[in-house]
Amino acid sequence: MPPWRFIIDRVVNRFITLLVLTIFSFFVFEVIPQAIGMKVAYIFAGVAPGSTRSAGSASALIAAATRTYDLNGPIPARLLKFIVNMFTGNYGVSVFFQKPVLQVVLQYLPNTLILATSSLALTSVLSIITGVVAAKSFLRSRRKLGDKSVSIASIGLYFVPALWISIIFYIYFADQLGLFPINLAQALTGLGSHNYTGIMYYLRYAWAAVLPVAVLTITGFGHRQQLLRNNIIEEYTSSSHVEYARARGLDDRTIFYKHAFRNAILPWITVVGLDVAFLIYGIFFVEYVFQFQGIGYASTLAAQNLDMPFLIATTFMFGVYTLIVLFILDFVLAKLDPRIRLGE
Amino acid sequence: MERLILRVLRRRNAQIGLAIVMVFVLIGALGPYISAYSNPYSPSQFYAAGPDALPSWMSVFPGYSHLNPNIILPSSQVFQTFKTPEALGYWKVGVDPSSRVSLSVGYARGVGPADVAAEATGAYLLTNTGNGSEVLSVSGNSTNPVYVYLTHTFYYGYSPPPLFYSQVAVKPVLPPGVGFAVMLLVNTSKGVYYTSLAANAAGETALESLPSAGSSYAAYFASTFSQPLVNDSWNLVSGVTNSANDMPLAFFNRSVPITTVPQTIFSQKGYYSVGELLVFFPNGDFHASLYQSDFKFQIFGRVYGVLGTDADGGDVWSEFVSGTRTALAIGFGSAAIALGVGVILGLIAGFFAGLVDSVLVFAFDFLLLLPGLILLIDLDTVFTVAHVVTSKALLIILLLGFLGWAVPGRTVRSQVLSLRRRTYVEAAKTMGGGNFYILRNHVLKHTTGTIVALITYLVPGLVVADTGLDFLGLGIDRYPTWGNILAKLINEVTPSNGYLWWITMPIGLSIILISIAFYLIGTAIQEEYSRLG
Repeated sequence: MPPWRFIIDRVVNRFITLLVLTIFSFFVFEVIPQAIGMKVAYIFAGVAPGSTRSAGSASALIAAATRTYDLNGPIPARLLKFIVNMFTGNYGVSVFFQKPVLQVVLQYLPNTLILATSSLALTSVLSIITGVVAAKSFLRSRRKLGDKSVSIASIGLYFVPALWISIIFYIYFADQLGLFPINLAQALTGLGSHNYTGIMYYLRYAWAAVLPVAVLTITGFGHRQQLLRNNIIEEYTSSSHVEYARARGLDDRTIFYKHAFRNAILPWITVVGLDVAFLIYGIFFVEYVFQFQGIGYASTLAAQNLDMPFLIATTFMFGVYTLIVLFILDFVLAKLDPRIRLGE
Repeated sequence: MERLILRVLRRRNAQIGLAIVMVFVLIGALGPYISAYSNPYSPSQFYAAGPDALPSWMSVFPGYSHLNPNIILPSSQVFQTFKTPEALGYWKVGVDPSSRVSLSVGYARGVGPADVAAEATGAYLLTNTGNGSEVLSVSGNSTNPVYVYLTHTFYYGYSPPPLFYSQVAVKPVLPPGVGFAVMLLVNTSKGVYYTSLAANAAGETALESLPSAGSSYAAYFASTFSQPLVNDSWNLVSGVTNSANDMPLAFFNRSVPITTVPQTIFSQKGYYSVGELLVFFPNGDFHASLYQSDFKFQIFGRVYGVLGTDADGGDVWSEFVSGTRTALAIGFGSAAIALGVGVILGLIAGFFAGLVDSVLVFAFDFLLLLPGLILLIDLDTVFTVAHVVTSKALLIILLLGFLGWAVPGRTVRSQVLSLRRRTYVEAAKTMGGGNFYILRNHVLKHTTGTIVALITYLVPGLVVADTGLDFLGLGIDRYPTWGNILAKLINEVTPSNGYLWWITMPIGLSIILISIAFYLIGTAIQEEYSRLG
């Protein structure tokens, strides 16, 4: 099978998954509620129980929602409309934010991206450094104190729930000691009293991002560090190519970095890729606790206020995001590892 | 299988893990027997002690020994509700010698508070406790007010308390035109403080016409919450210092803010009397009697119970126990569903190759690729709006279960695929064994280890998922689960309440401990399993 066949195969496969996800959410949001006797138009317009919408604007909103989602048509036609809406970015108006969903998402997305990329970079660097240090300590020194302490710390941190450590950090460092702002808005506007611009704006933004990024880093690097350490040790001690390299008389340093480390990093990259694809889950809680106005924070508010159009859109978008990341991961791995030949 | 279990149990890390899990299971299972309150988030169970009370074992440390525990007078509920005649002896009864009336005190076994309506609710409130009461009969001839008092003296040796509460249920039986008032009081070296007050219509008029404090009485009785006592029926007279409404002190001495009333009364260590003052305003010859019960005073503790209280005075130990129960029920319940569905579909996928396998593998991958948390939130929101499942906990168990079967399904499938090529399965097939027979007797038997290991992998994740959902305000509401406790806590911490460490730490450490315990068991099983091959 030539490489282009592999690419097309993957694209088709991922696209079908996305289509199934769309059909699935159509059933979750439109068919199931209707089957159990709910008025879907009311929910989409935010006139469901628990909404604070006034009766006057309700009928106009219901009419708008009915038009957007073609709610009076037959189910196949509605499904088609739903799929077309999703793939063309026509997500309707958010009930809670009272703005087009796409606009809300674009407004909140940058904050999430900043948290995600900076914590990802930090965890990666940290896990490589500590992983190598631990592996070296295990392989070279007799007492293995370095390995033991690093490993215990990272296994321990792996079990600490991000939610809880966010709360602890929030309570002590932000709310009580006041070392960090209690939310992003406070950092950027000083509770409405300032309007920071230029370098000050970015500095204060970074200041507000310290705690969320710290939590994501602390809770995220443990399992990658362990994976890398175990792989390096295994490659170094028991793989045949390392033995061959040693027989050729190469020095330890070259063997460690060029042979053991280079092979041990591949599973690590897979895990990092999966982490990138599913990163959003940790971010939900962190954004919510630190009131860092990202997409997780917005989604939580939307769910608390039963904002269906927003939830439908984010479900689809997160699906797209995850599939694209996994798609890229396939190719990165294939490029890096000569053993994975495209199409085999 | 038995060999595997025995060998796993012999491992140290499995023993530690099992011990931790057993402790939590015990706490969850014994829940109602080891905690005093079923749902400390309902207002009727607020104020088990003062708000933000420390755990009571903290008073062992010298810096905290000045903090008062809950002081309830009388301390036993039998005495408070007059279930026994001995309760009469708790109170020293007296009558103003100048009033020249005769007083008799008796015990009424068959009469007790019923149909008492209470304005406030809280754990301290005692109403409608049934038969058993004290009866006081006053008779004589007088036109001056007649004062009857009941007191009990005790020593208070702590720093000032946060809250004070007093109540009594009375049933006055009075001849027409006789005014009557009940006052609950604390007698201190600095004077008498009234903490509850009520009177019948004639009594209100009489008190308001007193030359000294008449206007204060008028202000108090004019407020809407002060209802006159009804003759020949049960009335609750109560006052608590966190609500300005029913605390007469706020009306009698406007310079005392309502929240500092306990500090004003119990400003120093020493002897105090709590008690009741009954005032009759007769107009000549009269005979009046009064039934009373549900008679208690409470000084709310700054230290309480195993884990103190939250900002509403709710018992944190009860909250923790409820939270543990819910966490384990959701963890094990949804793991059971996920495992049940996953194992069955995994067996089917692995055993029947071809289209069935392809479809199921797609389903597994689909569920794994889905934005799980978002979908969980979506479904949770849709079904919550729809009110399909009445219990939110059950809804979450079902959702977590039906979103979580991809991992067990895939694992079992790959296990079965490798088993299918084993010679004994081939042999069983050749001997004419049916699909179901082979599945049950060969395949399922050899995947049991994997399935058990999967439980240890699933449960902590599901517990954390539910905690997160509750924390975001999307899960169970108005009930103390771990997530809800954390969510409530985050708005309540201040340096003055010690950052509520007695709430933060037990919850966080429990989640960490449960994760570690299951990890230890899981690794023990996997190591033994791979050794057995």
